[in-house]
Order: sequence, then structure tokens, then C-alpha cells
Amino acid sequence: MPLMLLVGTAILWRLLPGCTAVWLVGLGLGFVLQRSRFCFAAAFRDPLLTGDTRMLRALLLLLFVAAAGSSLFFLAGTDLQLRAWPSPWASLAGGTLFGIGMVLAGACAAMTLVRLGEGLGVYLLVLAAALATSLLGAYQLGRWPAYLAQLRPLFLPQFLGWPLTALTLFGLFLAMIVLSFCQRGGAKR
Amino acid sequence: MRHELDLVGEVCPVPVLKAAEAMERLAPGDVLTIITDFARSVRNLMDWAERCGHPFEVEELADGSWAVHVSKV
Repeated sequence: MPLMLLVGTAILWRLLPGCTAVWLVGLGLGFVLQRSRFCFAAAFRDPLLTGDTRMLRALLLLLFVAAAGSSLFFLAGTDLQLRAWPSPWASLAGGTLFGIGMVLAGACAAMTLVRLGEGLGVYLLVLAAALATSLLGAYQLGRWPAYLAQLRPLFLPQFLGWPLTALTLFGLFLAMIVLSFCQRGGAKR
Repeated sequence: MRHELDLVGEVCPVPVLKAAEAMERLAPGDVLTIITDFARSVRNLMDWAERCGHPFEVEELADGSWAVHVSKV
């Protein structure tokens, strides 16, 4: 396996040198995701189902690190070119649909790829469904900008400024992490 | 007594829920063997057994196939 990866990387380096870095980062991410058994579906499902909040805490930590990292960029005045989109009811409906699919399949989008790589053939079906629905979404996307333009996005840093936003986020994450620790015992099933 | 639960092909969270359900019917001292091919479920079963205080052992049957032996206390 390592030999195959090495040969694959060498071929890519010859043909598309620009993509090699992305390929290597992808390999690293895939390896970490697979070995850590990280599971976004478990983060949302287990607190309700078994009272286990460990994966939720891991996810909160991940969000916090990402938020803290991007806050640093903004504090330094670097424009990350992030765009705030309004969140109408459609986001809520889409999120609910995605959540139902994720729990039924037992994996989110990233973990579907990991499990396919592990050799679980049934995830071919999940991937096919995810691709088909994404395609349908992309096809429909053209109809949305006019509707979205009527809504005003709520972008927290514009109201509070970046330092206060970072502080609010930090406080919120800390509160959530403390809360999830309090429930650690959970229901024994 | 030894009991076996073949859950090959089941995805999370089915294995841990079925194991918990089967465990309720077992008497103290019985061993429940859960066979799964879902890597994440092995981790879930270990966490569940630890939370409930049941001693457990994980055996790798083949590449991508595991047997989790849980003794009821």
C-alpha cells in the first residue's frame, strides 16, 4: 500500500505538479479521519441516543479551533473572502434532510468516502445518492440568487466587531463544552 | 453461557443498540459475542461496555471483521 501511494504521488508529480500538495493533504486528512474513527453523525446522534458526548465535544473543539484560527486572520486584517449568506428556512429544511440521511446511512459525506475506502460496498449506494442529490441541488441553484438577494444576511462581526465576536464564540464554546462534560455519565444502556 | 450476535452488514448505531438489547436478556456471568464489520461500531461497543462496567475483549477475525466478547457482570 505505501509503495502504491508513493508511485501514485510520483506519477501525479510528473503529470500535474500543481495538484500534488492537495493530493498529499487529502491523503493525510483521510488517514487521520479513518484512524481516529471520527464520526460527525455520532456527534449529533449519540448525545440523544446513548448520552455519549465525547464525539460532540471533539466536534466543538474542532469548530472552536477553526473559529479561533479564522478570527486571528480577521484580527490581523487579512480578508479571507468569506461571504455571509442569509439563512432562510431552506437551510433549516436542507439541514434536517441531510441529518436524517446521515443518521440512516450511519455516516456523513466525509465518512462515506472513508467507509467506501475501508471496503464497505453498501456505501457505494450512499455515495450514489449523495452525488445524485447534490447534482439536483446544483441544477436548482440558479433559481436561488434572486431570492437570496432579497434577504439581509446576519454576519455577527458586522454587528459586534471581530474582537467581541471572537470573545462571544469562545464563551459559547466553553459553555457548551462544560455542559457536555456535566452529562458525561449519560444514560447507561 | 455464550451467546453470539452476528451483525455483519449493520451500520452504526444498530450494533450497539442490538447488543444492549441482547445483554438485558443475559444472566450475570454470560458472555455475549458481537460480530461486526463496521470499524466505528467496535469503538462504540467498547465505549458502551466500559460505561456499563462489563469486561470486554476485542478479537480481529480477519481484515475488517471483528468479534467483541462482552461478559455481563
